[in-house]
Amino acid sequence: MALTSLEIVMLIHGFIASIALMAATLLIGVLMFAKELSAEDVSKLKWISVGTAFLVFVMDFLGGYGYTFYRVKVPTSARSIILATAPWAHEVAFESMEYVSLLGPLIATAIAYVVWHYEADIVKEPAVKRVLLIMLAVAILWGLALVGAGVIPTRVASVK
Amino acid sequence: MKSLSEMKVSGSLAAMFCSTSITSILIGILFYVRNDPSINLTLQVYSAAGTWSGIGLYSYIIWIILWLIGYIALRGRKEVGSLRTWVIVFVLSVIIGTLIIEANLEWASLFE
Repeated sequence: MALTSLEIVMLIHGFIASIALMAATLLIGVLMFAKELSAEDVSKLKWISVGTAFLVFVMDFLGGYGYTFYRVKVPTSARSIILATAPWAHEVAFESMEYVSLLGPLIATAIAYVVWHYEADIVKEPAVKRVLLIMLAVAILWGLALVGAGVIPTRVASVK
Repeated sequence: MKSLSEMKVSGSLAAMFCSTSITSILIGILFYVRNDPSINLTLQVYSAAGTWSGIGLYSYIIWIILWLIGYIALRGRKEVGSLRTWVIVFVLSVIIGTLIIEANLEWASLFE
């Protein structure tokens, strides 16, 4: 069975969520284990954090694209099927994922800006390291909760 | 070695924290008022995506404007609060924005 272009877009949407969570985990690893960063390392981390923030914007945009097909008011749309079979999967899980995710680009940009602003101090200055660890922990927990909320409706019906 | 409260935040960083925190709460507020007839149509910037489109678009525009205003107003200042204060504001605003949305979902549908 071949995937439709919409299904491919939604797969990319999911992949980006995984990549963003992996990037945040990578940054936590660097903060926890690196004692010093070379100029080259700092440059890489800055671009990884900015790239991740950009991808989170793209992820939101792709989610919005899929949303237009999801909510079409015909009996065969994913939203209609979910509302008829498991209304909570739309009313709670899907709505959480769709609207709360609008905060994602804000969180990712804030993290990228802190990395960009403090450069090598993110590992040298304990206060900066702690702040970044707090922001990353919030981002990961928040992101995991939304990924979970996003998976639930697709178990009932997905956009095709 | 400075503690979180001793570590001062520059104006440009404070502008980012401030604009991001306000926008996080704004997204929650816009979600709360989205079904009000006087604002519902305004939020449907792209009708196929419903109010999601307007909440996203307006919030991000306001975010950028607030950030620019904050940056211009604070860029010369070396100390605008401590890192401790700003990270608390940031985390609380994300929690508040999220909770406003969650509190206005149809949780009763869990029992249907």
